[in-house]
Amino acid sequence: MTEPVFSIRDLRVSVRSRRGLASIVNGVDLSVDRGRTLAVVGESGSGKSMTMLSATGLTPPGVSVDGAVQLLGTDLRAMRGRQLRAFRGQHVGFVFQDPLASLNPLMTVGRQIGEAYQLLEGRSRADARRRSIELLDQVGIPEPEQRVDSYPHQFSGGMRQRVMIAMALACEPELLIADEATTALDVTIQAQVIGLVTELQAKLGMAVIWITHDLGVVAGMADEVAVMYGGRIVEQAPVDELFECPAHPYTRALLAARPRIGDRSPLAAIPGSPPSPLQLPPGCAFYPRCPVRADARCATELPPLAPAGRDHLARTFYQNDVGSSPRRSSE
Amino acid sequence: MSAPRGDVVAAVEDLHVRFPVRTSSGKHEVHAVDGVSFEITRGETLGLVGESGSGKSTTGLALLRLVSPSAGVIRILGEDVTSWPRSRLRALRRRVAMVFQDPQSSLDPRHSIGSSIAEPIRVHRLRADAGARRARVHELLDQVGLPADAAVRHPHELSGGQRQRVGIARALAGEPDLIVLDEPLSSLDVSVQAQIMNLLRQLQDDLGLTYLFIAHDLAAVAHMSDRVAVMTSGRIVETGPAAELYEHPQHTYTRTLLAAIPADTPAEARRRLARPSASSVTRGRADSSG
Repeated sequence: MTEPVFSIRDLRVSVRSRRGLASIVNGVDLSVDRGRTLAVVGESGSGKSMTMLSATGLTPPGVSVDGAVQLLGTDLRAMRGRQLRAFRGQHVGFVFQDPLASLNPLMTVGRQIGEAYQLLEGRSRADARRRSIELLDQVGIPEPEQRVDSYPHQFSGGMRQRVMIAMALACEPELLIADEATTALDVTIQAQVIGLVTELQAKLGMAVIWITHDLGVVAGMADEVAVMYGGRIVEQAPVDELFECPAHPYTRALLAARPRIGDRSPLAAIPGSPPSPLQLPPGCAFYPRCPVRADARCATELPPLAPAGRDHLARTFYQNDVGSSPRRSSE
Repeated sequence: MSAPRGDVVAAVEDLHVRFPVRTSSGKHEVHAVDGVSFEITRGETLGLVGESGSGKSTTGLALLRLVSPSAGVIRILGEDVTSWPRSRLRALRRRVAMVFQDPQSSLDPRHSIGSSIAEPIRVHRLRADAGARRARVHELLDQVGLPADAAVRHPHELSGGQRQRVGIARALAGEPDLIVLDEPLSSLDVSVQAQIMNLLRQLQDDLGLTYLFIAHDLAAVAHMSDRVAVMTSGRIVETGPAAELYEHPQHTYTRTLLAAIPADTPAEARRRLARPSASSVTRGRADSSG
């Protein structure tokens, strides 16, 4: 087996605030191979975004981060400052939810796309411009020779997200991290952007980490899924396995709670709301909302992330019913 | 709320809403709603689905006269409210209430939950004194599934789902004939959305409520609605019973929209890939900039 492009070991992230110590990420292990897509699914406060931001050294000051992170066999946590920025810039592309917040309104999109290429790869300004046009074309923006000189406000939301993807791809990264990249987009545009990323991934062979709250998006594009809750991975499995044999009560409840077209019967809602990182329950973080509560230990003892099938891990004491789907087959 | 089931609660005929906009190329008008007509009968949910900029929210706002129609007629319980003077708008907004997307920004952070819910009761003079108002607030809290002690809390002490329950209680307070629900789920966590959908359906059954459910999420709209109207570019392009519309979409736009819903399961995603339609990567539209 080849080495994963990116791997995280026992990542822990916390923030001390006036209201106390917030344990945002509490021991996360993840890795992704070349050409593969790992989806990280979670609700607000699950720690999904913080895991990726802190693993890549993008956390704001005041956040304490612990754990080991390897990118292309290099210890990312040992790097600092300019060295870290250069290495990350060359090998990791980021796409965030709101392209308007990530783009500079005063710079043409061409300059922004080409900036990293020019600086990190030591190319000329003319080279960078050529590369920008090529990338705009690659992400499906019409008339790239003209649009290269446009400003972000001259693009629609979907087009701006394409610009972000072009920017992320400028240095041909080995890893693309997309954090809620389609959440702000309309459903038809979302389908286009997902299709684009999948197509570019097949062409360029990069690893993709797709962070989302939306299990529906995951079904069509991920190879592997990690479900996060309360700052921990509660279940991880190949995508088919996760949808067909979800082992953790939270995953099962999430899948069962989705409305389905053609079925108007009351939904299997999950009571309560996700826990605050300031007050995580002592045992399983899902215990207060769990419909199963399979074991007396659930309330007091943290279940280990244990095998629940082939390449399948689940952090639960509840294992007896694994294999039976909580909802009817879609076939 | 005296009219029997089957009555037309709201009737909209050829509604137009235009906004003046000023750009570098001078002043011009955006035709946000461009000739929309529909009816909602008592006890029914009409789903209004569309993408951003389709005019669906503007249509909802027009029903409360929160934006002014440029042309067309809006009838509430048979009465033409399109040109009611400012002095009667309070009466209109008792008949038609609204639940907004983000309960965080629609609730006053300085007011307790109890006083926020009591406000419409006070404004519309629905209870004689403070004691009766308090009793009504507690009844409403109970109806939306919040504990009585939520009345003394402030919005920041509640979760997003609880705040949306407060938004619903406020909308119920005036005993409206129609509730406009404008993207009531989109700021909520996935695990909380189902709770709110169940609550809205339960309240409808218990109280005989009538809803205009505005959303971009087709699965949620299908779940909530008896009939669905699909909106794009300020127009309704297709209306029909939810099941029929999703089963046999007639308009090209409806088909595009349905094809873009993410697959339910990996197996379904593969089936769709086997017969590619709107899921294939399309080149961006040249007209979508600007």
